[in-house]
Amino acid sequence: MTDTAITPIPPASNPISREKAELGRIARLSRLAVSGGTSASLLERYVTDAVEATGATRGFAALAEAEVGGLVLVATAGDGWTDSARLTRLADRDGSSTITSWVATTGKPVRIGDLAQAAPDYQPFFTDIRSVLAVPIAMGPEERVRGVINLECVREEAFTDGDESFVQALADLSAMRLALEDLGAREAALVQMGKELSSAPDPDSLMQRVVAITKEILRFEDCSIFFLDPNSRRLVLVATRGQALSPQVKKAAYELGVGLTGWVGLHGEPIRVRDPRTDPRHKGLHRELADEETGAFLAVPIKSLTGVVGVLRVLRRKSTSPWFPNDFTLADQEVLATIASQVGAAVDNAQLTDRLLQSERLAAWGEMSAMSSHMIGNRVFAIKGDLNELEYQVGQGTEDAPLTATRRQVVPLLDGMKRGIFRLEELLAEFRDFVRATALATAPADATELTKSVVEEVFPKRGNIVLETDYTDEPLPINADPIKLKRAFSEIVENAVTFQETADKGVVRIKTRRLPPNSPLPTRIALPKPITSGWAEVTFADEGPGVPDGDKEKIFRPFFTSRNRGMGLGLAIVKGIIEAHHGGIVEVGTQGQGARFVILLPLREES
Amino acid sequence: MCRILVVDDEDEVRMALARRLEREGYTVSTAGGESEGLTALKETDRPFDIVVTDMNMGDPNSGVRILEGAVSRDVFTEVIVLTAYGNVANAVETMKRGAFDYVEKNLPGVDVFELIVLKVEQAAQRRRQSMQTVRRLEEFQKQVGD
Repeated sequence: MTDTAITPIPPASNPISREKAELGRIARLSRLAVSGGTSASLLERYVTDAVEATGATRGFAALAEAEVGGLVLVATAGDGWTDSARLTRLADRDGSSTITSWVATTGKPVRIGDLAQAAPDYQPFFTDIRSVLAVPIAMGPEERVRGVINLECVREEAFTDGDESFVQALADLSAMRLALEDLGAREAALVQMGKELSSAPDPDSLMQRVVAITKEILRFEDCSIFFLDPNSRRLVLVATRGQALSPQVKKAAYELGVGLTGWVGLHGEPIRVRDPRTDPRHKGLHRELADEETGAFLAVPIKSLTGVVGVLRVLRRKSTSPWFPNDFTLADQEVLATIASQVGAAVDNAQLTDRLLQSERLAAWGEMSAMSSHMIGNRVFAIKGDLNELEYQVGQGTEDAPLTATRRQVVPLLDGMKRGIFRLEELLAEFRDFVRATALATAPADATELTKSVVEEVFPKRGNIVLETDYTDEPLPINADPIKLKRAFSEIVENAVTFQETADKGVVRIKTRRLPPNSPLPTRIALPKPITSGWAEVTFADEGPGVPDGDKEKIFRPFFTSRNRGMGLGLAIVKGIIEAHHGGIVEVGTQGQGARFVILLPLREES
Repeated sequence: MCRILVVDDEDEVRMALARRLEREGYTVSTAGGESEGLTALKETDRPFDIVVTDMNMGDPNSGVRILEGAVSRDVFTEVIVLTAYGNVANAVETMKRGAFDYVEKNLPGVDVFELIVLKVEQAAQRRRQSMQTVRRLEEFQKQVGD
């Protein structure tokens, strides 16, 4: 600040020059509000000016600190202030009885001309005072009070209407400045967060930085991040700021829907409450603070393209002054939601990078696999030739010339070798399908027509398993590699039939329908990219044993099998093919009632 | 007697194929790769009736080039292409270019050598018919010319 001198206001005998001087003062004070310096130095200036202008004996400015849960003295002016007075002016007092805290609580100004008469029992801190003027620092009557400017005078009736308006104007300018600082801090926090999110060395340290920045700059008492573990479907603590939960990182977890945090994870909606204990969803499983110490709780979902991937939650310690509200505001919630959305975007980014790396690795791996399976295939082919020759040499035997005993013993061995070779070829075929699942030759197709032709080719014409179809009349134009997609659908239909064959009864229900864009999608389905054209949905349901909840994701992993056939690549191939079509597949049935596979394929854009 | 050229870069495969086809009474020559195969097709006194070639001999298109070499020597030589499992796209391409048929080497549950014998028989039959047609055509032209 350049101009720190305070121009004395000329005497009232010269009204025109006094008015000019007041205008000049107001202009200067307004400019201060938007110039450099801290809000503390601004308040220092304002309090000094207010004491000067109103002829008060002394004055101070106090700010509400949500972390402390009370008022903190930030600036003083006038006579009688000592270090000890500054320390104790607002401390150790019953909040309800002080004028300052009444103003802070109600947001209304107070002006008392004769303290002894107006409040005979009032015990002022400075015993000499007769008049008091205290105004709230707030952005508006509905907004939370940020602080108070308080002036005292040893004279009775010291403060006029004009004084009150002037001091209120200073308080309003202060409020504006504080709001600007808050916004600045939040913006800085978000920018910093954005930078760190794109340059973090690893996810763990990144999440630690997120909670650190969130807590430090946005002044939350504590902050924790939970991420949804895709396998266990639980929200697992990945980072926290406070001491209480730190040992629980990677251990503490919420089931989806359990507790406030679990509720946010399940519903994707924020929760903002003052006392978590009053909320019926509260379970108190993993706490940064003891419930009775918690004064405010706020949790927001972290959403990625594929849905809720985690929960970011913050809390505040209960205010030391019971009258002082420090619960989270809607603005706090919005800031936290912004942070959460940045984290969500970072998760998407990381997954995308991961997928790219993985696809590069897969390409190299695929090439190697294709090469080796080609070589193995050739050897197997040669062995088949030797077996064919051996079979010929051993011969069938005739009535006239039966096989010798030795040769008869060779025949079952030959059969066993042939079966072994055929098994090997099945495995090779399965392996090659898996490796080549993502190499597509796409052409325009219709999802319903494709489904119909698969059913025609694969569904057994005889037997006691019933086929129920419900095909949409609407066209479902997609881009598809017809051979591969039919291979995927066949696998599911064959599975549905096989799993019901032992009971020799059952139903296979096949349904196609068109899902407009932004339709609710099955939970847990992972889709590679957002689309605007909508989806072709194909559902295959059966009444077989179904899939246990714990296996619903595992069934799509390579080498996972519940049958004693093949390599267990079947559904991994299916998933690979569907995902190569930019679609998704999920099993949503209930164990004991049957399996239910839902497949989504993006509709062609021009459709 | 029907003369067959077997082209494959794997010794065991070549031997197994030759042995099986010789059992049927065919006269079999072998070549251990694309260039050896093309040379054999060029240098033979009398064109081969049938060529059985691997599709991929270090190069995914070696089968196609053997096909071209065979047909350019004798347009009625029948070519059967052997492919690895799942490599149907390439095989269909050779069919478009005039191959008699293709056989997947690792078709599970199929005794593929018997299948090859069957295809070779069919190919031999088609070649005989083609040759007869040509002969008749030549005789007809001779008569017309006389």
